[in-house]
Amino acid sequence: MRKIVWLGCFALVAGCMSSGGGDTDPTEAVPEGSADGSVAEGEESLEGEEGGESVEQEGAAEEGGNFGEEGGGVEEGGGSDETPAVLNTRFVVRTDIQLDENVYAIAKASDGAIFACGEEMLYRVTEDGAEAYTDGNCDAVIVMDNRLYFNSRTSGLLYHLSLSGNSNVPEPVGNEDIHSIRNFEIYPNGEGNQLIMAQGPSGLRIYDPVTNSVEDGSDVAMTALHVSVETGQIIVGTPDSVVIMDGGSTEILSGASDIGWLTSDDEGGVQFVTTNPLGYSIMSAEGEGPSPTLVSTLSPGAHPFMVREGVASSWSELLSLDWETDEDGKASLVVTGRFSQTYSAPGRTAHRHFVDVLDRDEDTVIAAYDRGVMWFDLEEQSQEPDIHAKNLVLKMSPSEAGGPATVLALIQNRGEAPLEITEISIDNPAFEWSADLGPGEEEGTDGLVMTVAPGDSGFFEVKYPGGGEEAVGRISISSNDPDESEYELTARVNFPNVAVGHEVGSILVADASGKIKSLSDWSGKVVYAKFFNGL
Amino acid sequence: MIIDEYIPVYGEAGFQPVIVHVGDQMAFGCDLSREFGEFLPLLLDSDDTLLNIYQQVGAESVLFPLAYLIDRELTVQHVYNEPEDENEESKSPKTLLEDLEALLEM
Repeated sequence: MRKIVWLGCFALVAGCMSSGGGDTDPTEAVPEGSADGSVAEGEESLEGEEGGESVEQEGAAEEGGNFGEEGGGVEEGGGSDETPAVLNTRFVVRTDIQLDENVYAIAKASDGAIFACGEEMLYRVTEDGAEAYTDGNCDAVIVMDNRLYFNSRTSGLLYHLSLSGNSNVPEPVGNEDIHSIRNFEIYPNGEGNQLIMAQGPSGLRIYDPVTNSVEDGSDVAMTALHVSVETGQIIVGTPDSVVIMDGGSTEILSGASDIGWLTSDDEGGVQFVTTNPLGYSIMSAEGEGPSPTLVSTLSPGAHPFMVREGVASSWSELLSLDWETDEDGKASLVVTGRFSQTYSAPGRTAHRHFVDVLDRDEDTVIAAYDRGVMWFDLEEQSQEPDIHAKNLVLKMSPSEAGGPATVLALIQNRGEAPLEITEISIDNPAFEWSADLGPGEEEGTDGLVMTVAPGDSGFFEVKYPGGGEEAVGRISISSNDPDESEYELTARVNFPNVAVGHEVGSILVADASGKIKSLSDWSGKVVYAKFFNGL
Repeated sequence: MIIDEYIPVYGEAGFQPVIVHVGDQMAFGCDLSREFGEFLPLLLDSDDTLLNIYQQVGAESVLFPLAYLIDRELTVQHVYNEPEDENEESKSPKTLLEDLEALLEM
C-alpha cells in the first residue's frame, strides 16, 4: 500500500485565478509553513467583516440602486459574461427522468443503469424510468466490483451492498474511523481493488474490501476535499493546494474541490483538471516525485463544480470541453458547447443545477440535476445564437411604496450567429415592456423586436406602473435560439419577504469545497445564516 | 467574534453559524473561504438562489446586512436587517446573543 509522502516541494501560485492566474514560478518556492501561515493571517472575526458591510451597501446603491432609490432596479442571477471562442457542440436532451426529491450524485453500473443519490433514497435510474433502490441519503456513490458504495450526507459514514445479491439493505463499511467521507475512488493495488477516500480534515483513508480493514492513506496531515486516481497517480485536492502521492504539492489560493480528466503524455507526464469556485485549473506533473504545475486556467462563469472527461458542470450549466495545445505545448481547456435550462418555480424562474456528471462516452453525456437525471446526445453545431437573460426585481421607492418602478432587462447573445427576438410577452398585465434600439441592436425588420449580434447584448425596459401590493410576471422571449426558442424569466415586485415563522426549505447550493448543501442540512441545530456579497 | 467567542461557548449546545456568499464575484467568496472555510460552512450562492428567497425587499429595507436565526426545527425565528451601528465596539446584531440563548434554552 502506498502512502503520500510529503517531499516538501512547494510552489506558490501568485494572484487569484479570477485575474487570469499565472504559471507557477519555481523561484517562488516557499517552505511548508508559509502556506499555512498565509491562511492564518487572513483570519478575521465575523464581526469585523460585518463592519465592512456599509461599504457593500453603498456599492449596491452605486451599481443598481439601493432599495430606497426611486425607480431603481437590480438583476437577479449570476454567471459570467465570458463567451467561449468556439461553440461547435450542442447538447440535445435524449431522456429526462425526474425524481421526487433532490439529487446529489450519480454512478454508472456495468449494466448501464445509473444509481442516483437522493435526499432520502438511493435510486436505480434507466432511460425507461426510476425505482427507489434502498435508503440512501448520500452525496457520493460509486460502483466497484459489482458492489455499490455510498456515503451518508449527514454522518459521512460509508455503506455498501452487493448488486448481485437478493438484499437491498446496505451495511456500514469498516469501523467508526470511516466518517465524514467526501468522495472516494477505486484504487487498484495489483491484488485487487481498494477504495481510497477523501475524509475531509482526517485526510485520506484506504479501505480493503477483502480484509474489511481501513488504513491511513497519507503520512501527512491534510484536509482532503477530493481524491482522484488515474494513470498511476493519486492526486488530492485540499482547500488550498493540489497534492500528488509520492510527489509534491502546489498551493492554489482557491483550492481544488474536484479533480478529473487526467491524461498522460508520451513522456510519462500527466495533465489533469481541478475545479475551484473561480474556475478550472489545468495542472501538469512530470518526472519522479512530480509537483503539479499550474499551466492554464479557464473561468467559464457561474460556479465551476465538477470536471470529467470531455464534460463539466458549472452549477447552472453543462459544458462540453476539449483540450487545446499551443505551439509551445502548453495545454488549455476550451468550452465547445453549453447547456442550461430553466423551470418555473413559485414566484421565480429557476435554473436547473447540474450537480454531477459522468465521463463523456463518445457522443453521450449523462448528468444529474437537482431533481433528476438527464441523458444527452452531443451533436455537431454550426454557428447559432444562444440567448441568456436573468430574472428581474423591480424595487419600490420609499416615497411611493406602491410604485412605479422600472428595470432594464438584458438579453445576451452568447452564441455565434445573430439572435433574432421575434416576440416578448408578459403574462401579468400589471407589467409593461418597451424596447429602444441601442448599441448592439439592429433596426428590426418585419416580425422582429430586435436583433442582437453575437457576443453582444440587447435591452428592453420592464415597467410596473404601480397600484398593487405584490406582482410576479413571467416574461416569455421568442427567438431563433435553436435550444431555447421560448425563453422565460421572471419579473417580480415586492417579493414576499421571509419573516418569522418561515420554514427553511431544501434549496440546493454548492459550498466552497464543492459539496452540495441546503440550510435544512443543519436540522437540529440553531443556525445563524449570515449573508455577504462581494461589493 | 462569532468564531472566537460564540462557537466555543454555544457550539456544543447546538449553535451553527453558516455563511452565505451571494453573487458571482467568487474572488470575494474565496477570501471568505480562506478566512472561515475551515471553521464554518460557506455556501456560494453564485446565482442568487438563496438571496432571491431571503432578501428583504421593501420601502424600509436594506439589502445588507442580512442575517437569519433559524431554530432547530428549521423555522426562521429572527430576521436581522437593520443598518449597522457605526460604533465598532457594539455587537451586531444587537439582540443576537439574547436571541441565541433563548433558542438554545441556556
